[in-house]
Amino acid sequence: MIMSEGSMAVVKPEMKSYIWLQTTDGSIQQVEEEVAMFCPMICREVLQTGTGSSKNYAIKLPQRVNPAILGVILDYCRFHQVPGRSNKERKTFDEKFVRLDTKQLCELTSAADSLQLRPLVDLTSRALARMIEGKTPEEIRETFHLPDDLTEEEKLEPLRNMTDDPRIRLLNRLYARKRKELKEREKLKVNVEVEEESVDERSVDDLLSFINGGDEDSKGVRAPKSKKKNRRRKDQTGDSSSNNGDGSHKKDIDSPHTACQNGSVDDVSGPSKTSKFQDSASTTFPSKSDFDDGDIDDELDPAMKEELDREVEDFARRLNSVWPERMQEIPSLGQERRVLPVSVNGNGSLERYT
Amino acid sequence: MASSSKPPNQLPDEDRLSNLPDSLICHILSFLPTKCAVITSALSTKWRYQWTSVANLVFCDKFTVNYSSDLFENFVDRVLMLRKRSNIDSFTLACINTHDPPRVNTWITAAAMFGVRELRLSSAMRGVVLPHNVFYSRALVALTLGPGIVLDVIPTSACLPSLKVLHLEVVEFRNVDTTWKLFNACPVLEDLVIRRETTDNAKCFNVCAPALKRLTMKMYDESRPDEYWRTPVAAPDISDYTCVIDCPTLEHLDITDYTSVSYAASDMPLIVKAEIDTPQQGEATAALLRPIADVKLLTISDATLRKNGDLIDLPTFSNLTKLELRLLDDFSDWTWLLDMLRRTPVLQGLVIDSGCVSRDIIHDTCQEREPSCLLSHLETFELRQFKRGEDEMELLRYILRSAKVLKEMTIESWDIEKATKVLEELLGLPRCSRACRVVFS
Repeated sequence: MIMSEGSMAVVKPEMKSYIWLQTTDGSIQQVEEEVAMFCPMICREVLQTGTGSSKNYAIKLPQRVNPAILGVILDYCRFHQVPGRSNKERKTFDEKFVRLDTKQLCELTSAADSLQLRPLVDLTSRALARMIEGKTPEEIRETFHLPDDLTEEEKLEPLRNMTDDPRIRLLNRLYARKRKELKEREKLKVNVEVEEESVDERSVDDLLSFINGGDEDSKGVRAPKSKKKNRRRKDQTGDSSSNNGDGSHKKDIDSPHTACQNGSVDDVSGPSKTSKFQDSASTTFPSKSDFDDGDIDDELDPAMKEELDREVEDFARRLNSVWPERMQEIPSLGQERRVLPVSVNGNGSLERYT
Repeated sequence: MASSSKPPNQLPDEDRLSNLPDSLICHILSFLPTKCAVITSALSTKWRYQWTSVANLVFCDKFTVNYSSDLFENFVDRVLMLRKRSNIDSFTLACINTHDPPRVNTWITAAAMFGVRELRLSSAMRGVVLPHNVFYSRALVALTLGPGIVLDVIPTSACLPSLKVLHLEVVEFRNVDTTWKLFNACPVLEDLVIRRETTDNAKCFNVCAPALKRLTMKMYDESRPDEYWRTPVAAPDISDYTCVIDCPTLEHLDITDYTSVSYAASDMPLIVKAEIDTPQQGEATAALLRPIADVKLLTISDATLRKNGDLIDLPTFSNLTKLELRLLDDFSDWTWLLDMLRRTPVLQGLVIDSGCVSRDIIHDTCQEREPSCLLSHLETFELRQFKRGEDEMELLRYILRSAKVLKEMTIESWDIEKATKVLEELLGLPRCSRACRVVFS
């Protein structure tokens, strides 16, 4: 066990002092004093309670320290407690030291934390952080074997699932998607009606031009600038380069009249600024097409509307069932939360949660 | 969403990461840029709100795909709104794109309001004016302002009672009195780094900091060509910049200044280390060097020590034990070096960085009386960037001849062949000190 420099070699074994450590499984180890004292927790125990001087009075280590990981930690201490090492040497050692798998790294972080060995905690935490950085949630889950227990809608836009309005937006998106599908079905039947459509949305454009050969239909699609202006009006910053979805989001909420009460929904959606948040992670989210459809839903016949509403209601109920637990998890989410909790009543209307 | 497939008889891998105590998870997340920390909210139920406890916020708007300024701005807004903790330890904002100035201003204001201790700001978009409440921040310990930040009106009652570290990298000083007002507000400032690249309105750069220990000033002038001082007629004094350094407790001074024409500096009795590069400033440099005459380690260039060929009026450096000289200029003999060495009576170590220029040295000019340091103190001599020029050989011969207590002469050279030849030659030279070793690296 003597790993010391040349000068120490002449010291007789019985002259060296040892500290006795006991791990939770009952096993007791004896460790060179200067190595063990490198851990603040052990140091404190020795100085304050006088334990550790013999096998019978071994220092009881915290539960998170098992014998194997203790060995690793002691290797670390053994290297770093030698005063003469250069910074470069220490750095090189550290870099090699943290080449461990995730399981060991986590154990090591936990154990080092319970021994209050701050430099090692920082070293392993940084290593873990490096393993998280730059990865997608799926990749991180794979690396660390995390359970995949979030619902699909919660995973849809990771960066946005921080408040509760995404649920509402999700609802609306579902509306819009459904509406679009129904509309397209209609359009396939009746070409003439297309000219009256106000959609100047690209994906719908593409779809129509593909179907209709891109002649008068596409023109019809491009024509209604007025609708576009409506949307812009709602857009607070007036930034025309941002997604079309901004203002139309508000319109979207207003449109399914039978299903929502305007007042509460407005509260829920917050300022139209929040709608931009949704658009931001647009890589995963087909934003544009959905919102524009909000303009034309009054052209759907009531039957289809009903069908839509029923679907949305189902979905909302599903969401709502998870809602109460969620509420308990978040005692306070920041100081300026403007989103008020919402529940969906039995009749399908959204009301403020009380 | 599958986790990695395992052989059927193995136990499922345990999720050890989520079982770490919250404080540790928070600690791990604090090493991530905020974007990555927030992504963890999509990992699993336990992770949904872990990121909200992180006290370090790092925002960088470098996007590789799908960039829009809204994206970034909204993200910052939301993070600030949704955090669980009401204090921010460190806040870093690095923008390479244009953003809505009022919003950027709001973020910085919010950070200051939340008691930020370390604030780092930089913006490729010029003209981000620092909001006022930053100047009243009681918690701020370190402030780094990068390019693009503007210091405009600083309130007279500004007070940063905890600020110890201040880095100003190419910050615009809009008013004449900006500098002294700023430093006046920092009573405990210990570390100051300033880098200026344009000539702005701060004609008199006034560093008045009673507790300052380390000062680094790099002042360049965009309008002057590099190494302008090499031209035979020194560049006309187009600038009228002055610099006042009133830091009585200063220990470390590092100045590279191509703009100021005059200096006023208080005495610095505690000075330990200095690096000075103020080429061809003549009397101005002398005025700078006099207050630091007690320095122990000095790094200086020959262009700084000379003006139009002559050594400037130097004080005696009675404590100087190590001198590092950078040779950038042309000269015809080493007399100026000997003159310099006469002012360093207790010099133990001399390092000469020969630079890239080869000079024509007239042989055997070093006939004068040797400086006393060579006789009694010089123990180590190092020559860097050795090119085996005649100037260098002359110097080496002289040193070997004169330094009585020289223990080690180190010559750094990339060319091994040349080095071996020189080594042979040197070993054959008459040597004053018996114990001297000649080392090549």
